[in-house]
Amino acid sequence: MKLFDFQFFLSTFPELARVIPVTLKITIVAMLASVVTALAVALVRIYRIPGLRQLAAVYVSFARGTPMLVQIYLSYYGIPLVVQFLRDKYGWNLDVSQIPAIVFIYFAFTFNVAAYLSETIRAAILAIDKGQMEASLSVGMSSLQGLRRIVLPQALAVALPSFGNTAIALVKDTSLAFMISVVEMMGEAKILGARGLRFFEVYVAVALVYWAICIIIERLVALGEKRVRRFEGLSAVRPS
Amino acid sequence: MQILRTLALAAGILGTLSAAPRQTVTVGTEGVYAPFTFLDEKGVITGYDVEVVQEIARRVDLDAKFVPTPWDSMFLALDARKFDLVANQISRNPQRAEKYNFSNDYLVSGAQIIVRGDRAGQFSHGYADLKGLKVGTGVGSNYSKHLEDFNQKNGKAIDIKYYDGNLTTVLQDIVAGRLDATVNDRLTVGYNAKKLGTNVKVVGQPLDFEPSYFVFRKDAQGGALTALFNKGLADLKKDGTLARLSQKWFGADFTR
Amino acid sequence: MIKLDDIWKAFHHNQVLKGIDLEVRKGEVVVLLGPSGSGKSTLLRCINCLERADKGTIRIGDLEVDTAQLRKPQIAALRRKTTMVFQNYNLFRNKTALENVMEGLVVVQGIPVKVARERSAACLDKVGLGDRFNHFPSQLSGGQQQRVGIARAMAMDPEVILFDEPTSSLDPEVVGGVLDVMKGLARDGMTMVVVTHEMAFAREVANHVAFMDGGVIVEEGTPAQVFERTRELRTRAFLQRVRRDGPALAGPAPAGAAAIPGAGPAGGGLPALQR
Repeated sequence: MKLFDFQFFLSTFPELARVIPVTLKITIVAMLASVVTALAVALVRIYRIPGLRQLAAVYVSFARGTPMLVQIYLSYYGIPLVVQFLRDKYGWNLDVSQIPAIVFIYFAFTFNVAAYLSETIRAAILAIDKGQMEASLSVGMSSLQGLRRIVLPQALAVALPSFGNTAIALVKDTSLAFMISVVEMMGEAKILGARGLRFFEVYVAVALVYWAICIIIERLVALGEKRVRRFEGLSAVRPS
Repeated sequence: MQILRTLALAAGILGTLSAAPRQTVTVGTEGVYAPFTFLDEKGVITGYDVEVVQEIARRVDLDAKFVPTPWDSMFLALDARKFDLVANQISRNPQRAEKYNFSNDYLVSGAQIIVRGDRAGQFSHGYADLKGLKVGTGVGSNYSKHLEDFNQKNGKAIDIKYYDGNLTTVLQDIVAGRLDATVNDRLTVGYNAKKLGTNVKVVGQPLDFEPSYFVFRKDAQGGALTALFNKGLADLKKDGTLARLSQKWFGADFTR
Repeated sequence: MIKLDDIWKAFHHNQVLKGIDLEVRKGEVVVLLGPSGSGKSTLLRCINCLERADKGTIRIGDLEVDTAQLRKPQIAALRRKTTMVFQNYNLFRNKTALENVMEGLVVVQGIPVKVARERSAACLDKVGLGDRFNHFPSQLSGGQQQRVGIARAMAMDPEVILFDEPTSSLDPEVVGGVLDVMKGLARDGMTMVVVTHEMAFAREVANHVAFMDGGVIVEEGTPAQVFERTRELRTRAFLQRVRRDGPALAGPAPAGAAAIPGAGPAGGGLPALQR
């Protein structure tokens, strides 16, 4: 019995490549939805909007305090129950069984990642000098305008490295999607391994593919940092 | 003569493994595949496969320890020596036979299509009836292989949905409407439907008759263990214990 | 033009403003003096609602506001009539000097970008930064940043500019350049309320000086009245302390050429104000 079947190892790459889009889809959709949600949550907490801010605090605590896998299961098996309840109570006509499993993945991952991101964003906004907002208000801008034009762009520069971190972690977490039979890279790896009855080779291969994707993300974030920190001029610490 | 020599070799090799008075043999099994291998209300592992192994172990003076393992890493764990054998209704196919040692069979059962209890249709054409349907299956199982083989010859007509192997999640999704069907051992349905009230039923005729085997690594120790188990199994068949266990768990003798 | 009536403000249990009355006439320069903690910055920041006064009325021009019942539109209206120059400059760090000055014009006043750009360029020229349009604040010295801050405040064409210790964070050599810019503004008739420790500036430029201590206006009047014919003991004590430790207040203002060096940072300052 060979220790490492190199032919089999190579043969797994085309199969794995076929499902890279699934991994990327989950990552990109969840990341974008999370940033938007996280911004809302962060602002609710910074501006202490009554009622919503306690809800936001509980949400962040729960989403960060429970395992991602549990959240996936709660999403996949729990949402249909809620829909069932609504159907019985209000007579809605919604067939949950036809919703593709990946939608539940989008939901669960956004739920989870947004909580972490909201803390990143909140910290980044608070890191911006109060004077920036005061100057915005003093020329007559609304808080929203000041946020959008002055504070958030600067906060983005602060938060970007952390965003990159989160994105990279998210790529790896997508491997849990197979638990509700969404075939992304990890699921495909299991299928290939079971089919060929050789597991080590395919796991090495899939590890390399994950790594390659994460390296690309690192590079993109570095490029983003350079752009977003233009205004720091010559005095800026160069991103490594 | 050959058998005796192998047995002597087996005893010798096993003797070198540990100095304990009674050797332990570790068994990989799912623990979530009723009625073959599952945990009872007290959390103790039991089921047809488990009890057969326990009986054999008793006959050949071994201590059987069960290691619950998810289906999708079962063979991987066997390769990695996490346990000595797999007792999980394993069927035989050329690929597996090439890589592993198989004991003699300890059950012969049939694969059948399983659908939700209220679903209409005869399903009398076997796999062809699954065309265009969403069929769930465990990664790397023999049932997967049959479905994939059918798909290869029929232009991917069946929409195969891969699961990690835990049958209860597949059955749940059938009940929830996320899947149309699965193919699995007909004996599981009886247990699930009766004990757990899962709304599923078997339809049509058995698609294949597959004997079940214990699976061992293909090395000296594995070979020795295979021989030992076959001896124990032979004893069980001779004195009627195997048939009795089959009656207990399935209501009939499927041990042929 | 500006009338503050009985302004009260407390931070938690600390009563910082205790019934302030202040009047500023159009085109006047009013200087607020006092030790730290006297409430002068707080008073200034109440005028454009960066702090919300607890009680009292604020009137700017024909807009009168009851601070106990401040509504968003009223705050916006007050801020449309005022702009502020900050001790820490508070330039928009992610915008160039030119963009800093343009920002309010385009976003708040809805002025077309081209017009805003021309006006902003003119203001930056006026404060002596004609060659620094495309620099970011991180690329400007303190003095340069503050001058951009003044240009930003000017460009909005407000009814009054509020200065909150505009030179307190600057190196001594550049203070003069910034003060010169402010003097130019005053000469052009801008209404200004200035919180500062620069006594010479107050003597030269202010029409009205108010000395605050412990949340009340202890003494106010023309510079001559407050500095030379001081009535209150507290005022006298403060002025003596400043004379001894702080920027020099060497008795009567010198006649003839300005005593304050007009030299600014590289790029040139404005010519010194001739008396």
